[in-house]
Amino acid sequence: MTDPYKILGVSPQASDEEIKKAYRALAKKYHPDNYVNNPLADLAAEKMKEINEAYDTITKARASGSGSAYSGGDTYSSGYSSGSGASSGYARIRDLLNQNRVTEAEVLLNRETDKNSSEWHFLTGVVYMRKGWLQQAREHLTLACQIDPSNAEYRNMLDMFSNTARSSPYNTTSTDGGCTGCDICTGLLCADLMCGCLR
Amino acid sequence: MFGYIKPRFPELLVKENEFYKAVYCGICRIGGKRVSRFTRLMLNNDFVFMCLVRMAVCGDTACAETRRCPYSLKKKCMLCENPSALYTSAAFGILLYYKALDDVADRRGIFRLAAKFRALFARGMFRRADALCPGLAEGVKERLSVLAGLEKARASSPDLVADSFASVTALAASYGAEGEARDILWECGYHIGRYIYIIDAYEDCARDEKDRGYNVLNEYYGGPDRVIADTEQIGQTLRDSIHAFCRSYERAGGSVYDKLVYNIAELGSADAFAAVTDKLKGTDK
Repeated sequence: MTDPYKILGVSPQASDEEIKKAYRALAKKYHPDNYVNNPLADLAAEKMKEINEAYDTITKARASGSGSAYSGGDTYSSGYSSGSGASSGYARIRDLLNQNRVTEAEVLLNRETDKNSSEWHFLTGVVYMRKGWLQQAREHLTLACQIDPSNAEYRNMLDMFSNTARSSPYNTTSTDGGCTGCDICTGLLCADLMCGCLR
Repeated sequence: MFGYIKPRFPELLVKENEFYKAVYCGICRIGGKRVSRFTRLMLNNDFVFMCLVRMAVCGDTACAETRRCPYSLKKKCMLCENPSALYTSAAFGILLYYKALDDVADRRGIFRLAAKFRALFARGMFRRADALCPGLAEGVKERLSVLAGLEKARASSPDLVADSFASVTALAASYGAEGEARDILWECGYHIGRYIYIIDAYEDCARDEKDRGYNVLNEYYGGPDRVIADTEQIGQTLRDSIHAFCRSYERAGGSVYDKLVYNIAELGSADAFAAVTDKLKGTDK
């Protein structure tokens, strides 16, 4: 399921009251009674179902005592899918990271018995990255890549970690964005020179 | 704060250079008028950068006017007062006061007397800054006491110690902002604070060893010689901080200050690191 907080339009740090308020506003907006004899009735019903599920997920998670603890740090919320060989413990940690619940994810990682697997190093690296502890983050992500060099997810994360902002004019890694004005001018000059040589 | 974050001036356009100077002069004037004249003597480039980032993220419009400079006969173009410049001046005043108190505790002999004198002057400045940013001083004090505890215990993890300093700059950078802007400013302030703490420790590693003072990099690597030998690793972690800053800043969605901000973050920080490395290796000119 998509991030339930995103569905309700609130941050994972939102209080219970804010979540309830957001849920009520959305429920009022998409309630089936508002769409009687309306061609959008099916879509509204689907949306309503999604909102109810998101609200249930959040309230259940909070009732079980795993409330929000994330308080800042770098946010790379692209989402971590559970790897095919991942244990249920790691799957749970990935879920927590997707919800930005970094402290809880860190606690669970520290409880893991196998601290030498590539998955453990990868997730620990992500936790440190979120906390802003970049030296340790790099060490763990590098180790994960060394243990499992064929894993594209680990490699991508390490590459992303090393990259600057895409919009930075000093970003030397983003060369996939086509050609710039300078490239065109250089190309035209070269073409002109070559034409001159052939005369 | 130590003044490591400044632009690579030759790479700036003339208008960007003029604007940077206008922001510097504006903070100097606003700080002198609203916080204390003391801030004028101590103002450095780190806070100009902080103000620029805040203006970009919060979407403050920058207007400039020509005013008389207190240190020059010439009139200069200066940034007009805006919320970002005012917050920056006040945050600077608060951090300056705690720095003075820290010096009183750390220094000995005549240096301690000089630090006491500075702290006395800084008290009035602190009161005015605290009135402009209520609540900020308590947060800063709390985080600095955690940092002092770690330094006293001679903690050896650069990430851990830099984290407490970075949380101070994150708090100062994000004070008063709300929602997404607050989150972005927090992250930007955090990464810049981490960069400043580590590069300062790197620059002071030899001096701290000589004075038998605490230095997190000496604790981690085992001495200034090893710190200098591991320059590449330190450079890598500093670049990681700057890249993380740039990625966080990018989330603000772009502004007219982007080129200036990226110049300072990427080129200026690289220059600062190169200058410190040259100094440590004795190859500086």
